[in-house]
Amino acid sequence: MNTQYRHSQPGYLKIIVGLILITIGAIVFAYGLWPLWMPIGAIGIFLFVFGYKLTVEIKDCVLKFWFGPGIFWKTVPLERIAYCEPFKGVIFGWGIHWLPGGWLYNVSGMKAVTVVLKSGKKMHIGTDEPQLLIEAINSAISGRDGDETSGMWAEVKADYLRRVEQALSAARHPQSFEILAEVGNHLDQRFAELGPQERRWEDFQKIITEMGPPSEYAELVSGDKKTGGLKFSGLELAVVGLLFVIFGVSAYLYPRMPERIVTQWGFHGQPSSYMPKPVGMFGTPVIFAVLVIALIVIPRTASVSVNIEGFRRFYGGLLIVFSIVMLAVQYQIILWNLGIKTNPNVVGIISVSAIIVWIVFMLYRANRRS
Amino acid sequence: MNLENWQTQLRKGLLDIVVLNLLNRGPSHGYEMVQTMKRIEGLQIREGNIYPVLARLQTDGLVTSYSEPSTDGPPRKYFKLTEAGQKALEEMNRHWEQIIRSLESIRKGTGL
Repeated sequence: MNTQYRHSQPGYLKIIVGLILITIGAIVFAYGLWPLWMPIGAIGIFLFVFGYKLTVEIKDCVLKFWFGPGIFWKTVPLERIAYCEPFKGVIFGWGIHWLPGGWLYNVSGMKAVTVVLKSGKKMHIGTDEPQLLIEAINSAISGRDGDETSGMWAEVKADYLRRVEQALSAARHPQSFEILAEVGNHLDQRFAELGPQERRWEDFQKIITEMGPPSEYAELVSGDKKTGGLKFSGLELAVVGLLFVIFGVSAYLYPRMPERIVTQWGFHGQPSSYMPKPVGMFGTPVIFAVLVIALIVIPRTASVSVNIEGFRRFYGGLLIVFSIVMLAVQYQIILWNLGIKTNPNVVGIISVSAIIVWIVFMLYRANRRS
Repeated sequence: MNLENWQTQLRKGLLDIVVLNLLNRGPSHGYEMVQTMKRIEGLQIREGNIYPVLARLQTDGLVTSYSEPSTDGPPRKYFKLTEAGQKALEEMNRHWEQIIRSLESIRKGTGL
């Protein structure tokens, strides 16, 4: 049987925190603080490996979800599920923990769906596309109990809702979730009104045609306002926050720095280039700021926003890679010039690692819905 | 000239005033409004168009919503006009009547 639904939600913050902890662990190890490096590094590796994504899949009458690469997973046979609904409440934290009503499995964000079992037990699955997951689970349940046409309709409906969701994500309207729910209910109503002889592929396509192209949703929801506007994604806010932290730490430590700052090192770790104190201390943060501003502003210019939207995941990865590399470089400059002779090759390793992780993500993302 | 395209654009442009006038008759839900518009000649829209318009009008504070249980499915989301919506509608209707009068004067060659 084909996979009816599969989606992976990335945990960007866990990746960043994991990499930072791994780096700290490596540095602690390099300085011989033996007992400390192991727990710090282990937590970092654990966060990175198991926290970089949460995948939910519906396949062969089973709902299955897992963190990271899928070494451990949880399965729920569809026959045990009564129904699925949006999580009502406030979500705090990542990983697996207890919330009133049931266990929460969450990798990022504050959205989840509640799966209610026929036994009355509940579980909450974190996701960045709750409405589509609800539709997929509920459709899979009804498709299991229903006939072949119900399954066909579920596929047609899910495909349309996914395209509407993509169109609405470009408009970034605060009520996109509610619109999707209403459109889903509308489609269900249309399906319910079809006679037994009308439940054919052609009739389903006719309904979809009458609903209108998904692109019109974005156009109509934004009216005459510019879409995107001044709203920032969580990732963008995190990167801007990091930028402020780097500037703040650099300014705080500035008086303790020598007049000439080491900014480059040779292959064997020996200093190879010096700069005046202001340039050495603030050069990297300024370059970082320019890149971040460019990456945040360019997608919001009207002429390219539509194309950039399709490229958003690539762009998000680029922001993360820039942040990690710039953080590592500034960190090396500050520590070395404070007299803590860190190994500059660590910066190279971190930068190359970040780029490799980003490329792996891109490859993974390119295939995730296949 | 593509007449069909012009009609589609005109209908889309009129969606706000049509939806607000429908809600001026009383609270309603999206599906019901679509069915009503389907019965009115010249106002047939693409069914999905109603939901982004309602969401935008709600964000703008012109309509508000509440849920009511439904006998044939999940709870219905009903929309109704707010006070600001009522005022906006009066203004829009006045403007619309002015457009009609102006267009008529051009067509008949009067008042030019």
